[in-house]
Amino acid sequence: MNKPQMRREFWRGTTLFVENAVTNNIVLIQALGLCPIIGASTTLQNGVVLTVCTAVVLLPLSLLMAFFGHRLPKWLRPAVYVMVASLLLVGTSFVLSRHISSPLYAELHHFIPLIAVNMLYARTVGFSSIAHPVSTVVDALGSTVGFGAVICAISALREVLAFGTLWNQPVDTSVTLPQTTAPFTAFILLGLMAATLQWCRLRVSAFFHRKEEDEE
Amino acid sequence: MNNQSAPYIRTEARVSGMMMDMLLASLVLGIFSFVTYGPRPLYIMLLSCITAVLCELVCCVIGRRPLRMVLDGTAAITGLTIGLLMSPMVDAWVPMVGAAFAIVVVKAPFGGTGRNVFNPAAAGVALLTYCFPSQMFTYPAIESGVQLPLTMTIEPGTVVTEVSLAAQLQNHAIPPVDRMNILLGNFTGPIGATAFLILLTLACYLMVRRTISPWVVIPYFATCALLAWVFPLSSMNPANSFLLQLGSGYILFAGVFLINDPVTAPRFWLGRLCYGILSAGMVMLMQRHGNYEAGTCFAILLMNAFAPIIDRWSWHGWYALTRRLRTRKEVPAYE
Amino acid sequence: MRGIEDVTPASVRLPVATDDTVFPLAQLPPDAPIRCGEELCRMDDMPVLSSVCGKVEGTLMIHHPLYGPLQCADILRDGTDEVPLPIVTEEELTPDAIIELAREAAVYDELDGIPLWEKLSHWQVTEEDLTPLHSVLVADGTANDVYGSAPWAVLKEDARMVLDGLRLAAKAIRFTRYHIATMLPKRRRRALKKAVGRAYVYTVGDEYPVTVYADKSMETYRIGVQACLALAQAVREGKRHTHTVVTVAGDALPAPHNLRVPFGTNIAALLTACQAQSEHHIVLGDAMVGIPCTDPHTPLLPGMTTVLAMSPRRVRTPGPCIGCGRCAEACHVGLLPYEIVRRSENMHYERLQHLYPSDCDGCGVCSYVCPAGRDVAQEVLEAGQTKGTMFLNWGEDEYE
Repeated sequence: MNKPQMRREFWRGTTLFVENAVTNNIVLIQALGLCPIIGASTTLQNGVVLTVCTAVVLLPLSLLMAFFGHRLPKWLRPAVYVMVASLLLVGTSFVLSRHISSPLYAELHHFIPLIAVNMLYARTVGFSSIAHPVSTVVDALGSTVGFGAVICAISALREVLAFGTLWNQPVDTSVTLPQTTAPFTAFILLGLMAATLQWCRLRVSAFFHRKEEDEE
Repeated sequence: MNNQSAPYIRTEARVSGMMMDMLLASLVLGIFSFVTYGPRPLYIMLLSCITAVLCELVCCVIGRRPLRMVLDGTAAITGLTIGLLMSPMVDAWVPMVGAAFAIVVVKAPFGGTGRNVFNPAAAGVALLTYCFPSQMFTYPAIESGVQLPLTMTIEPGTVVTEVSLAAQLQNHAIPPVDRMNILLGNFTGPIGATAFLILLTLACYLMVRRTISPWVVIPYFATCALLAWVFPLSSMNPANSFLLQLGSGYILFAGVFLINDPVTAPRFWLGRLCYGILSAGMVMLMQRHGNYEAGTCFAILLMNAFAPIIDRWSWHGWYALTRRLRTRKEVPAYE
Repeated sequence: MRGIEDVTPASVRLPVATDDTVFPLAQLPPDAPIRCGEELCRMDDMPVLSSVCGKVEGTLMIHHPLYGPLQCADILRDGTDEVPLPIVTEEELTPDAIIELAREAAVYDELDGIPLWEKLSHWQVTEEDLTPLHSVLVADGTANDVYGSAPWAVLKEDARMVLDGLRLAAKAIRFTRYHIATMLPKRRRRALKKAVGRAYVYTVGDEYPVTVYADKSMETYRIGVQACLALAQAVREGKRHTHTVVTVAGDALPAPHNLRVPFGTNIAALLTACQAQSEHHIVLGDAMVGIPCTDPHTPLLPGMTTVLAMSPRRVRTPGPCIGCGRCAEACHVGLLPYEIVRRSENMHYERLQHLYPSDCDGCGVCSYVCPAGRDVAQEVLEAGQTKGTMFLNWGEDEYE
């Protein structure tokens, strides 16, 4: 592989990553993987745990599907990936409950199995069964980062608002609103974040559009 | 000179006229409450109204919308509606929070007047119901004829409180029924939502003025009345049950102010009919089985989400039926 | 209401060619004397007649708001000579002969400006055809407008002649049923029924727009009252269709008038005859769907029965749609104008077609009733013409 080719490949990978993580954010623009965000993002710890779970499942799964996915018939792929994802999640939750924090697991045990049927994976696996392994890894990383950024931001905000703490450390806030643990807060925050991102996208594209016109 | 297009004559009806009617209706309710509780209800309504208008102004500036859109009165009505659904002794910052939430979160991000999916006033009250139920549902006793102080907050204990009619019904208690008192609105409840006869009169007035549509109001009231009559509360005379259920909570008030918000209701007559009936059923369910003594706002928010679908489907059904009838007598078109 | 006043303008301006036909200049030299009813040229197999007796002054190109670019000849009036048609007897009047006569007399239907003979030959049925059993020919005397009253005035003046023309037209297309549809006030209606016979008058509801011109089971074929009158005059009196009755009204005029004028009269001359105020703008057609006209020297051509002079008003800035639903209530077709406008504004062209915007006939009621002052009808009409495929393809490019 010569140098310009490598440079092109590098840029293509970066584009894929940035697209999933920011510009075409997997949660805010594509509206995938909303369930854990609405239901479980009440503290920053929860957010981080769910992000890690996602990463742990998504990366091996997409690699696996990149190597074997195209050999499976189309109708079998979803069944296989749900099964593999469940297996991976069993391992993850075992580690979480035995070796990391049992109360945390007790809080999240509803949501971790639900990750197995998350649409986030459906998209990634659908992509990885037809793409090159390297780009699937980049894509999965981008998805994880996009998902993690949103869930961490929302859960941190809700933790500060609801309990006046951040990662269980007290933060200096004068008012706490315990009601923000209710799911509707997450909906409103998600909506506002999505709107902000759309607005930024519009602004940026309008800027480049104008620049192109000026150059012409 | 020729900057006009057809038609060259326009109706005299204006959106601002419709909004003035609604403002008038809220003022009538405010004055009714003034007679019972003194000036504090008006003070609460004023504060909430001002908050809503200021928030709308700020949002218009940020969203770069023309500022005259603030003056069309929709924000003021949102504020007044929220004020009317408060308890007379609520802390004055509570309706302000509700009004700010209604405008900043529920109305402005969707694009302002005419584009909001949910009724801002209902959303504001729903938020307050969820977050500050104790503030919302503590009512001053009506017999004492107490003159409430015009302060931001009221010290607990300085005012005699009373359990409202709706709360008694929710606890399956059977309150003593004085039909005359209920019809005259002479019982404990929110500022503007107790006046039974006045609300019905306002509904008639607004329907005559074509500000609210009879296609929503009449099915709504009819279904509510029917449900209250057919399914009376535990071992109660159906007539009493009818009066008590409709008089308590926000049911009548919602029929005049909340479900008639034209932006969030269907616009086709058949859709309006369905919407009226369905939201009445939903409101009665929430009232009977909800967690709060007044769950009307939640029911209305839920129905708002379905309004566009109801509208479209009802129209498609209707048009598919009538289109063939209409086009049957087609004369060969002259080319 | 007053009767019809005759106005004789000093000059008329008549089309001699559209922009795509070659104008035979040799036929019309300047200062050529021309008599009223003489053929100026032929357009679409139909003679264009001079409506006055006079001299051709010259030709010029104008842009007519209704008919687009037209080559017109200015004719200066200096006499009253008229070329009559040969008068035929009742026995000679076969259906085809009536149609041919309508063509030679240049009878236009004033409802839409289409030559009457074209309409009649299009509708004509063979003798074995059963269409006439459930169809009816209607002379439209409804004046379906706030200001327009020209058909009423025509009916008041000579209702028997109108009925005679209608009978001839029905004979031409072999229809057995025909009647005059009106929405006159009660006393005038009684007088009309007395004049033409009860069976020949059908009263339509007092509504805008009128959609039912006959019993609901019947197919309705409509022609104008003035076209009937012109046909009858052509057959009985040998007069060609050179004059029309036009309502000149509007809130910038002290009083509305019904004027009988030759085709080609300047609109400015009409307005002067009615003492128009200095500041107004001109609308061709009725107040609901009329077309604005910038040039007061536009000639009056077939298809125009109303000229309005409206005083300028402050233009309202349209507000946002609050969804009162009055446009849907008012629409006589049963469309959802607000939803069509919303989808068209949001560029959801692919979902527009489910709302049948092409069923709109542009009556303009939705714009009239809108309390926010929006131009609903205009947007619905545009949506009806949008197919949207172009925009759909653009949208897909984004993801490539």
